[in-house]
Amino acid sequence: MAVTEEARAQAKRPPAPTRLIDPDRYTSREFARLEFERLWSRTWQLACLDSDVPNPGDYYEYVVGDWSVVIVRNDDGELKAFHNLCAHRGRRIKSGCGNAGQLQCPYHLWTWDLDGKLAHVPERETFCEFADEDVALQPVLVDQWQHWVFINLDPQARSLMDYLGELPEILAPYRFDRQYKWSSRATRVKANWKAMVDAFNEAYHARGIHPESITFINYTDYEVRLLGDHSLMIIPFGMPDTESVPTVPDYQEMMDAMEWSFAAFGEDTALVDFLRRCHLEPGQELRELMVPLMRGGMAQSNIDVSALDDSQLVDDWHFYFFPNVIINNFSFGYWLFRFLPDADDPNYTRCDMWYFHRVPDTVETLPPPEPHLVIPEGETCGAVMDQDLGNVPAQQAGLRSPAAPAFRLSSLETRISHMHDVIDRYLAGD
Amino acid sequence: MTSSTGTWPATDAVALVRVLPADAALEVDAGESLMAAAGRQGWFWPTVCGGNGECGTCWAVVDSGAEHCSAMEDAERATLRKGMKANEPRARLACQVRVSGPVVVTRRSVKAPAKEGERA
Repeated sequence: MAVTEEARAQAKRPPAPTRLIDPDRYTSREFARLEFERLWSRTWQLACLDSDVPNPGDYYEYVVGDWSVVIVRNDDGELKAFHNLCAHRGRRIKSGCGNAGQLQCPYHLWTWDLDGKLAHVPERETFCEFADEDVALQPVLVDQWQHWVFINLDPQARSLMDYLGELPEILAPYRFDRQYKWSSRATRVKANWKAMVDAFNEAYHARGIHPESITFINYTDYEVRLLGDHSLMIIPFGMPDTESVPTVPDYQEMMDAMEWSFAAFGEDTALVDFLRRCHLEPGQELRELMVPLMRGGMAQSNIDVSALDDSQLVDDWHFYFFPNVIINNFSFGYWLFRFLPDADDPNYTRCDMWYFHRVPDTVETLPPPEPHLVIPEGETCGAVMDQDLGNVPAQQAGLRSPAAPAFRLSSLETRISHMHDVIDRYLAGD
Repeated sequence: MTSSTGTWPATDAVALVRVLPADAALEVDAGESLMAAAGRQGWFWPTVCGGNGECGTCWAVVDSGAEHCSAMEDAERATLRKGMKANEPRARLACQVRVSGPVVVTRRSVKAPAKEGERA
């Protein structure tokens, strides 16, 4: 029996990593400096959504470390990105987001058009002569996949589609083009950006940190796929955790837990309302009830999910976009988490939480995204997020101890060692 | 003794705890946790951490006899605050609570032990 179980798990996951992870990678300023110099300077990174800059003149500032990039929609409707940096004396030109016919530095009012060409220098004759091109805004690579706008600080970078690899094809049936951001929040958390990524990239922690969901999510028997620099885990919903739930869960308590967990993310709990009217036959799994209910509910909402198989319909297809974007991806929408390193302190991360929903196929134009909400550090981001946001800083604190050992990982956590392998490739300059 | 436990039979055990809706009658020794007593008497009580007060999975709602329950420690309170019973003031962790008199709690997931070879 044990051999069979092991063989099954191995078939669905790469073997357990042999690599030990050095805690300095999470705490050292020198390591963070190397990451900025060799990783963040060269990788594609999700900057914003196209809905953040829908009209000509719309701009959006994306900050990573000491870099600031301003993404603009020009008069032809094209996306442009520039180092957000005045060619005169270096001031950041724009902050936040807004709309402007030109990009103008508030300091001495140097002005560029939306293509980054110099438009005006006040009192230009008081300078020694210079060419307009010498003071043009410095372009940054920008490209778009679905509604996601990416930038890359390396002018020689490979293409965005090359970087994304297999992800667009695997994600195609989920119709990201038909999803809009219904909630957008950010907070600051006292943990390294990789510690946050790690906490989302394995489901092994869920028994300890999110035990409410063990009756309806299987945190043991999940599949892991490494996809180039990225990775995927498929977490089965609608069945109890193999390891921690030895009995058939009480149906009512399972429904209460399911409702609580989804409500903690602000999700609609209509599915639970329907499930409460059902009951499980002996030997039947909850997911067998969920499949027809979800297909029927989506059809009633005019959302075509015929391209999704039953696993895609019910389970959490959980994607990691290297280096810092995670999505918990469901048939009805996805939860996106972006973790941005602090410019000055490897012990801090900015955590963005963007939540998306499929819109009915009858809706032609997607609703505009909801306004962005900044949540002060330590205040609630929803009960389940709070469980993670309370947990990871305690790990960070431990990793900072001089006694912290190199840590080992299970096959449930392979995505973590894989991330470190990819980081090492960047740091080596490959 | 409250009315809901008034008919409870006399016993030598330190305290009697009734668990609803399974109607488990548990004898709880002095210093023994409710969850440990359930396990000793063959009842399934949900837990993930095994009784260390970490996971909060063993929560139970005290219907009566709260005055016979041990005072709540900070660690138990912190665990409860993180979970789905954060707003239930009568919730306790069965792995932490000790009892000194009759108590009635509700926890639907508490079950009689499975018979040999069957999933409960």
